[in-house]
Amino acid sequence: MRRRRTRPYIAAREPGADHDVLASAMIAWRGPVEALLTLSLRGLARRCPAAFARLGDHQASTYLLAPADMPIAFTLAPHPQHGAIRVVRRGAAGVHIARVSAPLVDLLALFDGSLDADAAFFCRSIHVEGDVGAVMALHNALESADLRLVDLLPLPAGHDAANAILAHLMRAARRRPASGWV
Amino acid sequence: MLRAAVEAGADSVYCGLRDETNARNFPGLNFDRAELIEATRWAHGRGAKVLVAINTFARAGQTDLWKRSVDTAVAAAADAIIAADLGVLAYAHEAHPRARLHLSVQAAANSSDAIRFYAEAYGVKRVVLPRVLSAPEIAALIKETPVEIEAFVFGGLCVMAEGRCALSSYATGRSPNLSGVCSPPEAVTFDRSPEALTTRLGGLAIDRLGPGDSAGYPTLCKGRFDAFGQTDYLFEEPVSLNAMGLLAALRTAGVRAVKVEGRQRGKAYVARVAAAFRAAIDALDRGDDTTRFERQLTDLAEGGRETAGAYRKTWR
Amino acid sequence: MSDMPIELSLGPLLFNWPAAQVEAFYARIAEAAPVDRVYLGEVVCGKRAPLLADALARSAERLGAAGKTVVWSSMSLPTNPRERRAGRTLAALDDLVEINDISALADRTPGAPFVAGPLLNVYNEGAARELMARGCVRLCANVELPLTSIASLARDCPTLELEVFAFGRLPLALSGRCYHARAHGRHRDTCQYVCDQDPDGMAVRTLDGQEFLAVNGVQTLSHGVQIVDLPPAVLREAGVRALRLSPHTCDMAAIAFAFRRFVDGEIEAAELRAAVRETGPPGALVSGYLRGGAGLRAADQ
Repeated sequence: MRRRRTRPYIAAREPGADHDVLASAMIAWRGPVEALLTLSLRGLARRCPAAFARLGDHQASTYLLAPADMPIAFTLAPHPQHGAIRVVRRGAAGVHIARVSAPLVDLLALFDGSLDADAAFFCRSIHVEGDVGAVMALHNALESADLRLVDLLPLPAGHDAANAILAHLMRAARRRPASGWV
Repeated sequence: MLRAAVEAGADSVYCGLRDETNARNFPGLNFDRAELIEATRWAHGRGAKVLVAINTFARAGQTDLWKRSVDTAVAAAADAIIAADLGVLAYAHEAHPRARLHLSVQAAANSSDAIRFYAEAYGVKRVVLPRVLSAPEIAALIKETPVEIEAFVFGGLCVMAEGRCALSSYATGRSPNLSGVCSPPEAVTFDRSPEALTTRLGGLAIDRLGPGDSAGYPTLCKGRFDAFGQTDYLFEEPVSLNAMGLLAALRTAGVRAVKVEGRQRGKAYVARVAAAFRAAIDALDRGDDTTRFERQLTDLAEGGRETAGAYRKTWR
Repeated sequence: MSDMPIELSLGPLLFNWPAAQVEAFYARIAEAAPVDRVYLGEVVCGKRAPLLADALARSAERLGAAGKTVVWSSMSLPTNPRERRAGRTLAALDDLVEINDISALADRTPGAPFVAGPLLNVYNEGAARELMARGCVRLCANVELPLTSIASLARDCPTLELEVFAFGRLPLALSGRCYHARAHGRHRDTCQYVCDQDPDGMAVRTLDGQEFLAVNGVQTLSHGVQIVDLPPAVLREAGVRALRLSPHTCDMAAIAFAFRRFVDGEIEAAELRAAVRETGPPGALVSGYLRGGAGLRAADQ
């Protein structure tokens, strides 16, 4: 495996006291982020209704997505009309059907289908707790939708250049030592 | 996913309807009727074939669901229906005599005698072999049968004869034959502690991994158990099948099509595996060596490890 | 038809016992077990078959003389030429035979009567009718089938005799690989018949120490011992005509007696379970499948 000389800012931080400060800052500023992510999710629901239909009963479920290298986590409620994404403190209490934990780059790559979920599971970079069936339904629904990164992130839509830059950054970020992140 | 496979060079793609009539009845997967029609039209435009899996065993008293699935596949102009159940085969043969029928691996037809029965009784044109035969045995079998033979070359490895395994239902109440799933996800839990990750199926501890260990699918045949005074992978380690090294031998034996398992996996997997096998088969056609393709896919394998399975006789 | 007595059958011996033990076992069955029918033959591993041929032939004569119906059973996963030859020989018999793999049908005279064994995949009336059209007169239901499915089969195929796997470790899976050989660090081709060390199968426990499965060469069985203890009236109502008892080292004559009394209404389910436990079966009693649940569900729950 090729080793990267510099790591992205967040990943360089080990969990600890700094994380609490970072978490507080991120929680304090969560409003606009939540609004953008939620808007993006609902836009996706309008563009790809079939993907949401595949979720069946899990449209009413709430998932917790926890980037292993960040002090915060996201809750995802994939309802086609009332869907929402919220930013919460890592370890905050809440009712979730399942918790998916992985390095942020892997989580994003899983969502746009560029990383094989089973392979990520085999090499232990992804952890699933709770209802495994619900997580499979979410993954299969996303896979069916032919998503790109710009569909998931609140960026100006339709910018292939933005997508290309993001994809490049993602690939670069993934060329990192396997340990030290999880 | 179907598109990813075709674009990567697959000649045919298997798919299923979103219900228990196919053996990948996992949440969120598979097509509804309209999607199947659209996918078939798209694939045909690209010169690719769509094979519809109706390969579970119909539930007594509710066989209409399976019959309707057969009708749907025919209406969608699918290139073949792949089935295992005698009742489904009989219905397809009688109701749609011109529909092409393939025999699913779930029928576990592992001898020319069994194949002859299915060919004579239901006009089966192609048989997918169960993963219990060695490469020389496949060659011998093909000499004795006029039916096309398809063999698995990559992906999940059932170590039991397919369609002859009820381990999953013994632990969970659901199995491939009964409900189209093995190790149903709702029965799977992962218990995480600082020391270990314990995989459970129906509450039974079937594997326990230390921080650095690779994981496999939470199936019983890849589980770790206590037997004969040892704690070990009793049936098989978490490995995947990769028979790319045997492609030339399988072609010489007369195998007509090679099959990649992975209908419940993602586009990333499908695109890479299909492209690698397309390249290897094309290399074979040119008379080139395929060695350089053989190690390209190891990171996709269960436990990060591969085996040629029963194709090599020592596996037994 | 609903008040006809339920028959008892003794299934084929699944384990690798020495020939002398096999012969003694069937002698005792002939003499003392109230079973109507006995299935004979090696159905698990073709390597074992030659060792047993003479003992089984003599047993067949003795059982026939004692008034039992003897039915020869075919291999469940015939692969090599020798196993396939044996299958063809059996398929060519005019007598009633039990078929455990579809390959046997290729050589069976159409219409010649046969029993479809529990290792065949018959899950619905459509599949059952396909087999009946070729001579199937009795079906021993696949062990996964719930009683509701069996009842549905019976309604749709009233002339088909339905048998249910009622006692013994459940046959769950077959493989090309021999797990006895593997556990002993060998391959199937050089197995040295190590499966003979476990006359009821090799116990398999989970990592928490829970008894779970049993290995018998290429076959995997449940560790739990199936017991069908539903009231005889319920069984009859569902169309069940016979119960199959699968041989183990515990006293099978005593087990047959207990089942005979149970299906005749002389003892209750609790008494049946107690009588069976008295014989020292190799695992806990389970009965989940017939009730539509996980097969390992305990019989008392």
